[in-house]
Amino acid sequence: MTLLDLPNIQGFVVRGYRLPVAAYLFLRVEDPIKASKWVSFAADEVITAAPWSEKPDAGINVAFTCAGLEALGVPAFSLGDFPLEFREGMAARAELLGDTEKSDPSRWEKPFDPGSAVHAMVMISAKDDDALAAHRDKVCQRIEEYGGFTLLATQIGKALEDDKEHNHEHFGYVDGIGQPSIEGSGVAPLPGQGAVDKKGDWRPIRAGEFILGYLDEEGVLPPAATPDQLVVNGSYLVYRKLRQDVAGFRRQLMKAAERYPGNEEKLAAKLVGRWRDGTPLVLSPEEPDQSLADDRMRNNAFSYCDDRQGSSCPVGGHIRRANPRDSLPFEGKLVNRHRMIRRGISYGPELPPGAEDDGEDRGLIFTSLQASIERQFEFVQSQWMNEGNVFGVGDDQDAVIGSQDRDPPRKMLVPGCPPFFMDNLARMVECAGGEYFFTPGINGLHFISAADG
Amino acid sequence: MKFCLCMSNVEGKATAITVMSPIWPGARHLLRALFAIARHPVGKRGQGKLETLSFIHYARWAVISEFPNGDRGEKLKYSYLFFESNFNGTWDEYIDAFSEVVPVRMWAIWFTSFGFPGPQPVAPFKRYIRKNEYIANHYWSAYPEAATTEVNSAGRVAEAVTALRRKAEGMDRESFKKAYDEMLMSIQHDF
Amino acid sequence: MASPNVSSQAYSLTVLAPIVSERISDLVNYLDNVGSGDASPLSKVGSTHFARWVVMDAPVFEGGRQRRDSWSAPRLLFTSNFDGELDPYIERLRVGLGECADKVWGNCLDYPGHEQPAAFAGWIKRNQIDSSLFYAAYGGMAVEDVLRSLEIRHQLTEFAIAHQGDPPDDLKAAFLSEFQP
Repeated sequence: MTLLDLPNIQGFVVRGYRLPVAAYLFLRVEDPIKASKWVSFAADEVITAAPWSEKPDAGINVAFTCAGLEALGVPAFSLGDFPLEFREGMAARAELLGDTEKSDPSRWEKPFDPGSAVHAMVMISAKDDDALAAHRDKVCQRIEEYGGFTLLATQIGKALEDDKEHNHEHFGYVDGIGQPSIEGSGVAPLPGQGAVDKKGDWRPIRAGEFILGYLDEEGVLPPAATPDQLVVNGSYLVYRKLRQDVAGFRRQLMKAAERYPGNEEKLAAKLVGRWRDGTPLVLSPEEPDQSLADDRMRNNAFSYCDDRQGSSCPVGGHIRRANPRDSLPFEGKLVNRHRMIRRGISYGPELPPGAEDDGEDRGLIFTSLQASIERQFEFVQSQWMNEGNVFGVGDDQDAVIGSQDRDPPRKMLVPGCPPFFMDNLARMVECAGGEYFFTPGINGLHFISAADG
Repeated sequence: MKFCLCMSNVEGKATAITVMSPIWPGARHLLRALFAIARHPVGKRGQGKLETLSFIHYARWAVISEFPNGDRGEKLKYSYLFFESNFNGTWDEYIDAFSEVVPVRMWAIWFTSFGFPGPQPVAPFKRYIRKNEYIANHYWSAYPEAATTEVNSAGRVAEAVTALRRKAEGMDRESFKKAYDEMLMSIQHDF
Repeated sequence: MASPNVSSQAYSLTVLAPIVSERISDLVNYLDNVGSGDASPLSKVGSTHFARWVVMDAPVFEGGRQRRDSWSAPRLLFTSNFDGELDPYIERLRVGLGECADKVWGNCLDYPGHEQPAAFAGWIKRNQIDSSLFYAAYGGMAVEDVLRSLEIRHQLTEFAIAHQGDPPDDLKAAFLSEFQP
């Protein structure tokens, strides 16, 4: 097992920071020479994956779009080697991703609106609002001093914490429990993370599924652009601003629960595969279990081998679609290469329970990291979330994030005696903008800053 | 492929793939023998994996050593291995699955084709298939919006409904409700 | 021993015909512009699950130890997955495609036109390639079976949703009325 070159990898690729506020700054390159100097400065500033002696109050990480790499002078032979989907950008992939109707890129807001081009993203993570504001001022000042960039837009994110310090998202579910464990990261894996092996045990996933320059699940280096100096220790970042219709989701759930032989909370759990407090249905199908949900050694330690029919966790449930674990045939071979690291954070004010829609913008800043955008993010989105074929649920799309742009009945079936149909599902999550980024290693940042076309 | 003006490999949920590769001299005999074994009841048991993959509607292979050409036929420098299939999901997913799940079978079928890099790792395998692929000029399906699993599911649902319908007349309402619920349960994974 | 083209009641037809070189552009243009889906000439043939036309202009050259091969003419491939026996299907092709058959295969060597059943069938068969191996996921289902089953499945889904939680009183009557024998 190769250990990762942690000081050369940007930190959030390898571990979540558990810093509850964030700002995403989107930049355009105006003067490549000046901008490159800032990139060189940033190479020494970014949080890396080297173990912390002390958790920082705030810090930055950076990523670039294909247009951004080009604007900064990365040579054409390099750019041509980057994968197609990265070069095309997310907006061009709308049909594949189900970004239709309200999510159509023509409706995306700044800085992802049509015609504009984002070149770079600076992600500031901080321990609280004050730390964020202070650090953001510092960062913006620096960027201005160096010149070279225009700031296009800023997006603020803030975790919704409950009194137990669990992050939940706007629909009310605890989020972020299921994450793949990366081989060689030095982060101790929790039970249930990673791949299921032949014996039914968990093992970490090969680093090359997430970080370029390391062996992947096939035992080879993931296809990557050239040269190594630029790409090794890098990863691809998918950024999506997902606006959530909280009032709509609650209304839909309440209405369906009227006919459901169980209470609303149980139906809510069936849609996702976890009770809202995070208890996995597979481990506790009849009621939530707070002590189980709180226990990181247990709250993700399950497989679907005893729930093949989906009587506990429906086959079309959100977490089962996102990671089928051992419920697809061939011992994980059809699953292990489609995992993603997720580093999202909520944004916007909470909608009080029972309140009407107040018109506020709220939702989830979804970010994922993977070695192949097409095989991991795009695949899960288009084949597991917006399709049901591989799970035997045909046309059915995910009840929480599915596009729900097909002909009626637009249903989800909850197995049982008799089975329950939730129908007339509507889109509850729309994409308000997004893009594909490359998160270089520190070596990559140095390469980019030195490149001059 | 220089004559192909539009990509018509996709119809609804169905994707077409057509591949032709030249094979080593003499290899046609070996391939024909392999395929004959695969057609035999013993070999047919190996179809299980293809079925489990569940996204292939139909697939066919042919070993072609002589092209039809009017009355004469045409002898070629090489024989060719021809492969044609209709499947669901993306092209990448399809090749990924074949590479990961049935690499021995892929190797056995293609190892005598010139330039074949092996089924693993998948990246060179994909490049090879792409190189030897012919894009359909016209592709048609009688039920483009139905994936393979849906067709199979629909068959089971139709059978169950027909069976219940036959018994229904003679049942009282309570028994019918019970039988109806049982039927729904038995086919709940086919909706 | 069953023909290798057959799996249960499904048949895999492969036709590979030489194209008259000067006509290849006409052929490609026709295929590019002909309607798809319900507007395709293939929708008039019946008993066809999937079918395609593929213009194969030249063999692929692998390099390495292979010498470059050449075909005397570019080829038009036609494949079809259909129900039942070959001869009745070829007749359905002839009648269903009608003049469209001429617009496609009229660009091929020695094609006799669609008017004469025997001549048409003979030409198709002379240009037929047998499968060495044929896999069919549901070889026992004819197109009508597939379409009818899909329809019933859709009907039952709507019915089940509409009648969720209904008391037994209404259910049987509704079912009998919805699903005619």
